[in-house]
Amino acid sequence: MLRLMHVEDDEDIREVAKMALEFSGQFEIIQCPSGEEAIERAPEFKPEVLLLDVMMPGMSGPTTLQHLRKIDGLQDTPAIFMTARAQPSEIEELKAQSALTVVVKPFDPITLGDQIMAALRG
Amino acid sequence: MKRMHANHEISSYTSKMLMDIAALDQHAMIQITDLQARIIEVNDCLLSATGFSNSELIGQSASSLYHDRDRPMAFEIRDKILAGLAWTGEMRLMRKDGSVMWTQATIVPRRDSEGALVGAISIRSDISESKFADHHNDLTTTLHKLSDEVYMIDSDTFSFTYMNEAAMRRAKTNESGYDNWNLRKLFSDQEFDGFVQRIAPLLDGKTDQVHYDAVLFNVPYELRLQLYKAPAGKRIIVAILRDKTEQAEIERVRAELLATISHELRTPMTSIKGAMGLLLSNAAGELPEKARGMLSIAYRNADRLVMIINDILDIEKIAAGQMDFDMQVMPLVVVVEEAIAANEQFANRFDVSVSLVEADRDAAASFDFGRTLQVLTNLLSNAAKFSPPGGRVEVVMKRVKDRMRISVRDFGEGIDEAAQASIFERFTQAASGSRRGVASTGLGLNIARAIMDEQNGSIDFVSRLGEGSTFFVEFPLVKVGSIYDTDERDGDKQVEGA
Repeated sequence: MLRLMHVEDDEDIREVAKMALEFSGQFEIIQCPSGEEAIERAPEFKPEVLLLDVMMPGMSGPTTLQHLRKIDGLQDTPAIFMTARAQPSEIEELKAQSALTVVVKPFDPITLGDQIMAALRG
Repeated sequence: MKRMHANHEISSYTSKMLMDIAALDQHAMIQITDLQARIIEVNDCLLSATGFSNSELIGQSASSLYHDRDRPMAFEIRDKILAGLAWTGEMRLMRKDGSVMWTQATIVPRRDSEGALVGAISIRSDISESKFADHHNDLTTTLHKLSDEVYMIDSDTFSFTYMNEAAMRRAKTNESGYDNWNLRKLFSDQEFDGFVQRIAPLLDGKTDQVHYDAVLFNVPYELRLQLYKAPAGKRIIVAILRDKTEQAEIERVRAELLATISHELRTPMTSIKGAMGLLLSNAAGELPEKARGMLSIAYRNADRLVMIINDILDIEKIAAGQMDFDMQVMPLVVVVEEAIAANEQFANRFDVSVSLVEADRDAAASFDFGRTLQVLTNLLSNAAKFSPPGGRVEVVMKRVKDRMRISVRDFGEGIDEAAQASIFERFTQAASGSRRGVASTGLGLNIARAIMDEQNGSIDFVSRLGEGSTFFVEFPLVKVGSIYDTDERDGDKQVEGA
C-alpha cells in the first residue's frame, strides 16, 4: 500500500476521491483541506505520492508543492496535480513544476487509482 | 527730330517687350503649336519641368502631354482657339517619369502677319505645390477627428508633416509644435531600423499596406501604414495607430472568465460524476436494478453536460483566438493509432470494431497532437454511434496530391441530403443520433472544422442514405529528414479523467 497525501479544498471532491482511491485498494490515504495543513502533517505521514489540487484558496497546489519539497524526504516524492483548468498551456506549465503528471477534472473515479499507478510506473 | 523721337520710342518699347519675354521664358513653360495642335516649339523651362528632350516633343500632339483625365479639355481648347479666343484653366501634365504636374495654363491664338490663325501659344506655370497643399488640407480635415492616431511622415526626410487631434493629444503637442519633429530623433536606432524595414515593401511598391502590432512608447498599438503619393510627387507615409490597451484588457478579462467558468463548472461536475460513477460500480454496495437504471440515466446526462461545457469553452476559445496550438512536424500515423486506441472502449459499447485498413507511416505533417486527436476522436465516436451493432468502422490514410487524407468510414444509415448542408454548423446532429441514447452536443463537427482550419487543414465528408458516411480530414504533407521519436511522445502524455 502506497502512502498517498491528497490535498483538496472541496469537501465533496475529497469524499469522492477518498472512496475512489480506497476502491482501488492500492493506497493508504491522508487528506488535507489546505496546503498549510498538508505541510504540517507531511513530516509525520511521510507520503510516497502527492495528489494536489491546483486552485485552492490561500496556498495553491504549486506553492504547496514548493513548500513540501523543502521537507526532508519529500524532495523527490512523485507529485500529481489535479486541475479543472485544462488548457494545454496550463497543463504544460504545471508539468514544468516538477509534477509527474496532471489529472484533469472531472476525473473517472473508477480508474483514478490505476491512472496514478500508471503515472508512477512511467 | 520728331522721327528720331519716334524711333527711340519704338526701340525702347521693343527692348522692354524683349525683356518681358525673356523674363517670361525664365519662369513660365511656353509651348507653340501649329493649326493641327502639333508642338513646333517649346522653351527650356517646359523641357526642364517635364523631363522630356526637345526632339521628344517636337511634332507630337499637344494633348500627348495631358493627363488622361484632362484629355477631353483638348476639344474645348481647340474650339476656343478656332473662335479666336484665349483659354485659361488648370490642367494636369504628365512628366516623363510618369508623375503628375498641375499647371495653370493660358492658351492664346497665334496669327501670322496677315492675321490668319496659324496655331496657339500656351503659357503655363507649375502649381503642383499649392494643389498638393489644397489636397492635403481636404484629406487632413477628414482625418483630423478620427479617434485613431494619424501621423504623416515624409518618406525621404522622416519629418512629420501632419498629426491629427488624437495623435497630438498623445504626443502632448499642438499644430505648430511638431514642425521640427523627426522620426529619427523620436525613435531609438533599433526602433528606427525596424520601422525602415517595415516600410520597405511600401516604398518598393510590393504592397499597398503594412499592418503589424508593436509597443511604442510603452503603449500596445496596432499599426497600419500606407503610402500616399501626393500630387507634387512627394511620398508620404500615413501611419494609423490604434491603441490596443483597452482591447488587450478585454481579451485578458475574457480569458480569465473562460478559465473561471471552466473551473467553477468542472469542480461540481467532478463530485457529481464521481459520486454517481462510484455508486454505479457498486463501491457503496449492490444497487437495486431500478435504482441502477435511473442512476445510469443521470450519469449519462452528467457526462453530456461535461461534454457541453468542454465544447462551449472550445467554441469560445476559438472565437476569441485563444485556443492553443502546439504545431509540430510528426508522422500522422501516430495520432491516428492513438485515436483508434483511445476510442476502442467507446466503440465496444456499441459492438463496433474499428480498424486501420491502410496506414502511411512516412506521411508527416505539421499539427497539434492533442487537437488533432480531438478531431479524430470526434469522427471515430460519431462513426461508432451511427454504425449498426456488430458493424465496423474503417480508417484509411491516403495521399491526395501533396496532402494526406485520413478517412473514417462507417456503414450506418448515412446522412440525408437535407441534413448534409448544415452538418458542420453548430448544434447540428444527424437525426438518428439520439435514438441510441448517445450523448452528443451538436458542436463537435463545428469545433473539428475550426481546429482543422487553424492547422491549415480541411475536413469534409461524403454520405449516401443506406450506405453510410465517410468523414475525412486532410493535412498538407511536410517533407522531413528525420521524424520525432515516438517513445518520447508517448512519455509525454497526460493522464486524463474519463
